[in-house]
Amino acid sequence: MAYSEKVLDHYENPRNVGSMDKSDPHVGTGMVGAPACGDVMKLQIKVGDDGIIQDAKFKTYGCGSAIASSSLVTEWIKGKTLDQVMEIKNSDIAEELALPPVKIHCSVLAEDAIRAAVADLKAKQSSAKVAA
Amino acid sequence: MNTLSDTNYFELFGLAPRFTIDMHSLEQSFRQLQSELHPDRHAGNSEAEQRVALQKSTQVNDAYRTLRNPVTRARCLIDLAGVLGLEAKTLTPGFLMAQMEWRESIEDARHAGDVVALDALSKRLKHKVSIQEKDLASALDDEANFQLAEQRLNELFFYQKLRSEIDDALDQLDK
Repeated sequence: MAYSEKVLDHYENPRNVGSMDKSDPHVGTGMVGAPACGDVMKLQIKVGDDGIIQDAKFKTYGCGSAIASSSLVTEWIKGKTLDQVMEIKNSDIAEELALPPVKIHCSVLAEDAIRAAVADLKAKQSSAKVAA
Repeated sequence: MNTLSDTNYFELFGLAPRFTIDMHSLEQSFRQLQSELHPDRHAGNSEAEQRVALQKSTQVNDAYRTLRNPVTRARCLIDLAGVLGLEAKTLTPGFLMAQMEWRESIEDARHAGDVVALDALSKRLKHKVSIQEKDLASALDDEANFQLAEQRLNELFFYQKLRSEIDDALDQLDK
């Protein structure tokens, strides 16, 4: 499999690998997986009181394209609002990384991870409101 | 060329369309059919008849391969049920978190060159897979709950991936 230079760059120097505290009320955690290839991806976002994403971390077990897709996404979402990151499409990721058709599902997984992380955070925030 | 539908995969070997099948009778029917279809037996027949026998023999091989493997057998049964709109969105965060932990443990053991730990993981995985296959069997055969079966099958794919990850790590450390 010939990877693009951008994929190789993210694969060899992945950005923002790591974990944040799942129980932190400012942290949203998105877990997604693809049965077809057995890839698993965890994306975490930390949002300030101003609603801006301050930090993002990921951990992905999968092929180079899955790692690159999630690494790229952590760079893209920092400094954005939740609404802004919900607009990121898998096709944007695939285009940026020049993913071949057989690897499009990796970018879909990364998009799903963003949605899952945002959904997790929103669920946390609304239950916090109920509690308050 | 007309291909056999999934139903006929089971019918072909005289089996009921169930996840739990008798491997021994599958094997026996397979051998019986292949010996009937063997080219030597059709040497005196017309060219057309020989071609049909050869085609059928290929189909019998496909069917046998499909039914022998629990994953493709389950896929076949779910497809047979014709339930549409079943998608892979059914993975729970808990399941995915556990997958993450499995992958971390395998990676740690691989880096540490810890064959003992990998063997232990391999054993644990075997146990997991056997429970998973039992759950899949009960979803398909007892409950006819294809939504649940789809979920169990999707999970089984992840266990297959873990199996290959562990085997790769063990192979690597063997060298």
